[in-house]
Formats: sequence, structure tokens, C-alpha cells
Amino acid sequence: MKVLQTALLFLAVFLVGCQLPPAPPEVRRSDVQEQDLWRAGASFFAGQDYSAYLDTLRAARRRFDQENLKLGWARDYGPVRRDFQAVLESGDALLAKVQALKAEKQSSLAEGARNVRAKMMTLEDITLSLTERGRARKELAQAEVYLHEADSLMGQAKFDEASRRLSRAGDCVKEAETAVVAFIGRYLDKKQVDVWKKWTDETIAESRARGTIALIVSKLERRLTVYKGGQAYRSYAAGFGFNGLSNKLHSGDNATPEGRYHIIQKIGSSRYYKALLIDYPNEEDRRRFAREKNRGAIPTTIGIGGDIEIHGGGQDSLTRGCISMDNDKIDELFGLVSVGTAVTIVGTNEMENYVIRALRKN
Amino acid sequence: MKSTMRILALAVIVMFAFTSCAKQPTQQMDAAKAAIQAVEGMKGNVYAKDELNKLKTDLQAALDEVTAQSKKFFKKYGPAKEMLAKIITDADAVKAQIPGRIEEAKKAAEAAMNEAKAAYDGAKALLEKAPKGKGTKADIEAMKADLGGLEPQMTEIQNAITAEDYFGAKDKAMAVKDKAAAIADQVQKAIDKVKGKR
Repeated sequence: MKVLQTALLFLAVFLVGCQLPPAPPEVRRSDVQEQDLWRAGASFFAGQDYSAYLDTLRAARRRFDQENLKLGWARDYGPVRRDFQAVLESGDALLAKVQALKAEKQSSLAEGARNVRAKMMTLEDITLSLTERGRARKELAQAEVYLHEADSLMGQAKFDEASRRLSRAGDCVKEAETAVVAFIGRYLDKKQVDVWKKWTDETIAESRARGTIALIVSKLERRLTVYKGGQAYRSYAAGFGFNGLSNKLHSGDNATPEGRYHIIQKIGSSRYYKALLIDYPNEEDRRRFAREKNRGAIPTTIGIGGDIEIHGGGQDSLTRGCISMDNDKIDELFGLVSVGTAVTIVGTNEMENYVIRALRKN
Repeated sequence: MKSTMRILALAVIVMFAFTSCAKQPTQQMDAAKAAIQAVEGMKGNVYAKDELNKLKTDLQAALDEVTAQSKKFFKKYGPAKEMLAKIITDADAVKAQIPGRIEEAKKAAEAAMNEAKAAYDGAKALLEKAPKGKGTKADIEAMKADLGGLEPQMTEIQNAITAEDYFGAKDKAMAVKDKAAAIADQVQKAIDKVKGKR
């Protein structure tokens, strides 16, 4: 009987001692913190620190488990709580570090996206102004799609993928820029620009010497400038052919001719409001046409073309080679010019033209 | 009294024998690892990221528990076995959800691709009707070139769907749809301008 009582007493003490007290709240908080750190991408942004944090956390959990093995009255969660508090503090610091790194990464990518976008917008404007309708436009359209994707991926904190898309957008923009520079290749040739400058200088010199009106048309800058007695008097925005930047060679090529011409007729009422007919083709145009035709570069059925005018209809119009202006501006011009007025059409007078300046700026 | 003491001593010896010789739940550990690998094999890292992480964390806790017990004289692997069994159950539950999520993502990607195609075709049709020729205010050819730039992107969307990158396909499709809509808008403005002039 005594043995039984002793055994029962022993059992009661054992059972009481084995009851688990509630775990310190720090233990549960550390579980949540571990998940938060993983979700924040700690293993990606601060891999070493995250590994060290996990080691400390596991050590704290082991100590907690060891403490739980003791009988109830022998347990002391004091050191366990201290361990987990240290874990929580280091976890909070790590989370702050990860968030700062993410913000920095996001900021860096956003800056990259802004730069690509700025260059893209510049090239968009340039290609429209130059009526470039080929490779540059296609590359810019692709760049815009990649940029859109990069923005979406950044919003999802998928920074690696966003960076790859941004890189592809940048490549497309570079290709577009190369295409634009190739498109205006002639306008970057010093020998060609010098020829155009010579024509311009000679026309202005004549206007000065004779005290007459002369018109200088610059295709790249899309300007028609009126010179009076050798001084710049008025300047107007102008539109050109669908293939305006090329030098007209034959009928149907949609190019605006380059050379020294004169007004041969003033048409007060035309399909495009008012028109000033010029004497394209001149002798140089005929020589060039004949040379290219002999070379076989022009089909035998195609003529040299003609009916090149400066007319109204809007400076933002596209023509088949003519030079178009706003109606109110052609009205002004009509009052200034006469049959015989010199009209010199050049590509550009500037080696450092606005296209190159805009590309350098970005 | 003597027989009672003998019985008690025997009970203690038996208890020693069972607890000190308890074996690690190796089979259960392998099964838990295999269950998690199965989730990874079904692209759990894409379609069940959070759940996969929780499983890995739980597995690590179970392994830590096994390690802790293995160092003791009186080993108790019961709790560790329970943890491992729960991991297997949870992993199976996650695995069961993944095909549904993949199907959802696939449908969303295909729907986005169809919308992008519709926007692209709409812009193309509008370009056919757009005013051409001398006097047009907008360069229709430039807009055609823009739309031409979207063709390789349409191919990339299809390639992404074929490669089962459904989220990537959807993102790209939305970008293409927006660009095609912007082109269509420009063309419509050009058409309206000409109509207004007439």
C-alpha cells in the first residue's frame, strides 16, 4: 500500500511537472518575422545576413526546445526570451536593410527607365520630323513595349526581370538611333554640307548686291527663310515630300529637289490655296537624271518630273516633293516675291544640326 | 515488497531500453523531402511561392527537432514525426492546388494575347482606311512602321505561352495592346482631321 501511495505521488508530481507553460510571445513573433523576411526577398538582397539570422533563430529555437524538456518547475524561459528578443532585433534591422536595398534597386531601375524613355521620346520626335518610316520607328515601337513590361515588373518587385526588359528597351533605342543617323547620313557629310553652304552664301550675296528678295529653304530644319537685301527678313515653318530628305531625281520619287531655282509663276488660286511654281528641273538636275538613267538606275518609262511648287495647305502636310506652308504664311510670301525671285533649296547649312544636337543631349 | 521492487526495476529497465534505442524517423524525413521536391517539380516556386517557403521552413524545424533529439539519451521522436507527417499532408494539399493555378494563369495569358491581337488587327484595319497621299497631316507610313514593330512582340507572346511563362506572356500582351491602341488613336485623329477639313 505504501509503495502504491509513493508511486501515485511520484506520478502526480511527474504529470504536473510535464505540463507545458505557454510559449513566450517572442517565439511566435519570430515565426512571423521569418516569413516576412523571406517574402521581402532577404535571401536575395542580403543572403549572408539572412543566413546568419537563420542560424541565430535556429539556435534560439533549440534552446527553447531544450527548456521545454525540463519539468515545469525547473523551466526558466528568461534566457529563451532574451535569445528571441536578440533574434527579433536583428531581424528588424535586417528587414530595414532589405527594404532599403530594394528601394535603392527600384530607384536605380526607375532612373534607368527614365533615361531610356527620354531618349525614346527624342527619337520619336526626330523620326516624325524626318518622316523616317522604317527601322527606327519599328525599333522604337518595340522599345515602348519592353519599357511597359519593365514598369510592370518593377511594380511586382521582380527586379531582375525588369532589368532584363529595360536592357532590351535600351538596345532597341540604340538601334533606332543608329537607323536615324544612317537615314541622315548625307546630312553629316561635310563635303555635301559645304556644297549647300556655298549655294546659300552665293544666293545671299546676290540678294545683297542687287537689293532683292531671295528664299533659302532648309529641308532638315524645315524652314523657309526670306532674305531681303542679303539680310534675313522672315522665316517660316515648311513641310516637304514623303521622301523629302532625299534629293529629287525623277518623277514619283516624292523627294524635294536641292539646288538653285527661281520662281517662274505665281498662282493666285490653286488646289493648295496659292502656289509659287519654281523651275525644277535645272541644268544640274537634268545632267544628274541623264547620268542615272544611263546607268540604269531609273526605269526608261520614268521622266524627270516637274511642277515643284511652294504652296499652302499647311506646314505639317506631306507632299510629293513640293514645299508646303500655312495659308496665312503663303499669303505673306506672295506679297514679298515675284517671278524671278531666287529660291535655293538645301539639305542643311549646319554640320551640328538639330538632330545631332538632340541625340547628344540625351 | 521484494516482488514490487522487482517489477519496478524491470519497468525502469524496459523504459530505458525503448527510449534510449529509439531510431530517427529517416523514412518520414525522406518522404517529407520528396513531398516538397514534388511541389517544386510542379513549378511551386512560381505558382505557390509562399506555401513552398512555409513547407521548407517547417521541414527545417522538423529536421532541427530530430537533430536535437538524437543528441539525447532519452530520445523522443514523436513530435518530429508529427511535424513531418504534417509537412507531407500540407505539401500534398499545395500540389493539388497548383494545376488549377496554372490553368488560371494560362487562361489569363491567352485572353490577354487575344485582346492584344484584336487591338493590333483593329489598328491595321484603321490604317487601311486612313487618308493617304498629298496633304495628309500624319505620316500613315510611319504608323504602319510602328505597327510593324509590334509584329515580333506578338510572336514573343506566343513563344512565352508555349514555354508556359504565362505571367510574362500576359505582361507583354498588355503592353502590346496599349501600344496598338495608341497607334489606332493616332490614325483615328488623322482621319477625323481630314473629315473636318472636308
